[in-house]
Amino acid sequence: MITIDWGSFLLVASVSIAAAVVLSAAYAGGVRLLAATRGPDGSHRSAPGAMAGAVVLFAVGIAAVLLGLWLAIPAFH
Amino acid sequence: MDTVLTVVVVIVFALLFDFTNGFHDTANAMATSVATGALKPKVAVLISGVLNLVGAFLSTNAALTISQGIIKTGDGGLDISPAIIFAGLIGAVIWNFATWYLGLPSSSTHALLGGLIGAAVLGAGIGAVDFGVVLSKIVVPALLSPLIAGLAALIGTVIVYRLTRQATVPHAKRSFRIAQTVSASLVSLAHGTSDAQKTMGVITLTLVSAHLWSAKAGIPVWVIAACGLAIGLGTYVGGWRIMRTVGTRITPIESPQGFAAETASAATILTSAHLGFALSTTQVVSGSIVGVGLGKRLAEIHWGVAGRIGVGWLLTLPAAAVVGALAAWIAVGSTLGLVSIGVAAVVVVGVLVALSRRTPITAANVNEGAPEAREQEAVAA
Repeated sequence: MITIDWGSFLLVASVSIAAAVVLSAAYAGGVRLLAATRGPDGSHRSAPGAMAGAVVLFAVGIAAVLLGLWLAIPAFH
Repeated sequence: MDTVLTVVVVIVFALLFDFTNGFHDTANAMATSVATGALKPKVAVLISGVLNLVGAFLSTNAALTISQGIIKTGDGGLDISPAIIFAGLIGAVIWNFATWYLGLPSSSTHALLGGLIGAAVLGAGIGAVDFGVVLSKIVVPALLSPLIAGLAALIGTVIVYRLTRQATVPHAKRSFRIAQTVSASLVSLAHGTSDAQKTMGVITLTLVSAHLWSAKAGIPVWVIAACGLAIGLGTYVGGWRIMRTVGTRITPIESPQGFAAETASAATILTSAHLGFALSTTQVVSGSIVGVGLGKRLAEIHWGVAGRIGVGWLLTLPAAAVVGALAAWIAVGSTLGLVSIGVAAVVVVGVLVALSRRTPITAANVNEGAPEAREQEAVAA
């Protein structure tokens, strides 16, 4: 009897793709905003909005790593 | 005496399989980090090896069902004896060494199941294998894994290059190299927690069937330690031949692509295991790499290499099954046959290792053809 759980497959596909896209965008966005806080010569430039945005976006990345550890270690769940 | 000898031989080959599992899959976690110069080759395999060892200890609630329902047991089915397990391991070990020699990434899980299927068919006829389960648990996930991961990595790559103006904003490449190391480490840890369990299951089942251990007692601590060390050591020794294929031969990888690939792989591997549709690490990672190649403008994908890898995946199950069946034919029923198959397997492995020496690939030359890793080496020098 062939039973393919298409429901699980679609769930895995959408969650994986969404997670990869959100994390790629968050980290790349953080890199871009952090770059905006520096001048062309590498000097510090006042850009509080960009800095705050970068911090938030990197925090998303760190949270994802912690979630990944939680998922990878069976003792946590 | 014969039982003890059989059990010892099975354990030796189970640990050898675990070792090949590790060194086959080093590439999955670390190939892109090595190819972009984010990690030096030897540092990469050390991190990955240690995390595989740690992972083995973190996850000891291994299910003692190595055949995943593919081989029917009980009435009309087959008694999975130590000799059958041994024959399955022989099929898997030979396939893993052959694909390593050719530099092809392939799934160790599929090789092990292929070997067991071959041994089971020979032992109890074609009816002993549930081909519906083969289709739903092996074939379909193998086709879908690279598609999901490839799509995730493709979209991720497009976004990453757009947001960082083709990675020209200051420190972009360095930042991606750092992040890529983190996701690669997560992949290594996840690998240790999932793959080392397979061999723990194989060894424990062998002990149980020889009445040397009770299934209720779980996994013996020395088995956990031995399996963790075997997979960690295999990872550390490093399948450089496979790493070169995955990291440089499918498509040249820059750090933004390496980051997108590792993120897509880690996300896919970690979510799939928990949402009830387990995907093979090898196929996920190869799919991600093709995806990041497609996602970057003007990037070139060597479809010949990707095609060879695909053909390897198609052949994994039948090839390991043929070797497994041949081994079962000789090994089941006679300890002498079992020992001679073991010796023959060691000879085959020795020949493949000797052949590989003619075109050695090591930590020193694994990055030939990886432009960004060369840049990093030049900066460091």
